[in-house]
Amino acid sequence: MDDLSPGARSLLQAADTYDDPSAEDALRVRRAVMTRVGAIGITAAVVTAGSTQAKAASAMSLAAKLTAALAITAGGVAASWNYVNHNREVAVTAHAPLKAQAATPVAKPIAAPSSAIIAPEDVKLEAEAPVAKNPRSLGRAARPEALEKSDPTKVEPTAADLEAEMKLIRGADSALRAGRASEALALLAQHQAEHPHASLAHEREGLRAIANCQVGATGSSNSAERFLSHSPHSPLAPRLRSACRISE
Amino acid sequence: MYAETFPSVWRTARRLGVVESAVDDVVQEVFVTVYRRLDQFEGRCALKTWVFGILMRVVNNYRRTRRRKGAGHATSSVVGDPDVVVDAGADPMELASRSEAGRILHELLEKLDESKAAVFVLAEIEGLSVPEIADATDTNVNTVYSRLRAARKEFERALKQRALRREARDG
Repeated sequence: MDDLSPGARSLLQAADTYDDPSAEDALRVRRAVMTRVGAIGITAAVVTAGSTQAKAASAMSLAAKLTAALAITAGGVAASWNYVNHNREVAVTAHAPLKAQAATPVAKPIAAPSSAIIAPEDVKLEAEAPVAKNPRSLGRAARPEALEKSDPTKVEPTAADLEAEMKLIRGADSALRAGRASEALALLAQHQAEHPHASLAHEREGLRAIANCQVGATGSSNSAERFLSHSPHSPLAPRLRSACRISE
Repeated sequence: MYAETFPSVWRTARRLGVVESAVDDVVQEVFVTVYRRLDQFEGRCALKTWVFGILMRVVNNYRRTRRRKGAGHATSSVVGDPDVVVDAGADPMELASRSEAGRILHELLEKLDESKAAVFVLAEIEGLSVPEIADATDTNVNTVYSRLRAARKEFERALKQRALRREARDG
């Protein structure tokens, strides 16, 4: 097969690292992926709890699938991301491609996180400090660096923080579904104390509203309505309406 | 796995025309899909090849969405005037900085049609073998060979034309 000319090869060589992502890119995307994967689990709980007899059959299949996702433990997620393929790839092209020629590893180390905040999806509750807009909805220029300047005291969660968050949120959700609302509230309080700028604050507050309704806490209906007014389309909304007996 | 494949997924998305403002979302979608489908990975190909297959589908969806929204040609925009930056003579890249070379590369890739650009990037830059590209792009090996041969010719032609334009302009 015709090979590339030396001029074309040198262009590819010179442009080799032009599109490489930064360590911040790697961390930001990883965090967003883990948050989305975590959200899948919370949705599973909604599907399970919200299923009526009539839709039980179809919900069962979805619930089974999603509950499997909910079974993500912090370690489980880490294991997935750390999966190592032992099949060595063998290039059969006639020439050595750029990346095969490169002596340095492709992956860059992930730097220590800069100080910025990851905002919850779309909710702002009274109990929390005001949150910034989701960085994903901003231009790249306005991403964490800009947020950092707006409030340097806020700390960006690391991947380990997110794993710890998911563990607590998942534990609270499991307790709630097992009817142990007090235990769920304790875990949610722990989550709030340990993760003041949590990525899963939205899920925490939704679960807390459900738990408060289950234990009959004073003002639980108001909290639930406030949550629903902020996030009427939250995946937790149907479950919350059911627990707090709020009609749509 | 993420650390191992993220840089090449990101780079390839950019080189396949995903604009800078969309690359976060595209790469996220790839890895969320990887997570959701990890249990379906049967080990019949290398994990990287499987991930690239997902990337190809996500990028194709992205292009379709861009076209549907009337965003024009679904490719990344090259900032600046690429003709200004380098003399594409016999060995022009010695004089070109990395960013200049990167912009020229984007410019040339944009001249290839999407299927040829994909094969070219996967083979010449990311180092996938032809059978691996066939797996990732869900095409047969002969088609990949044919596209790669054509892509190399078109790439060379575009590079030469660029050099001629430059010479004509400079007299």
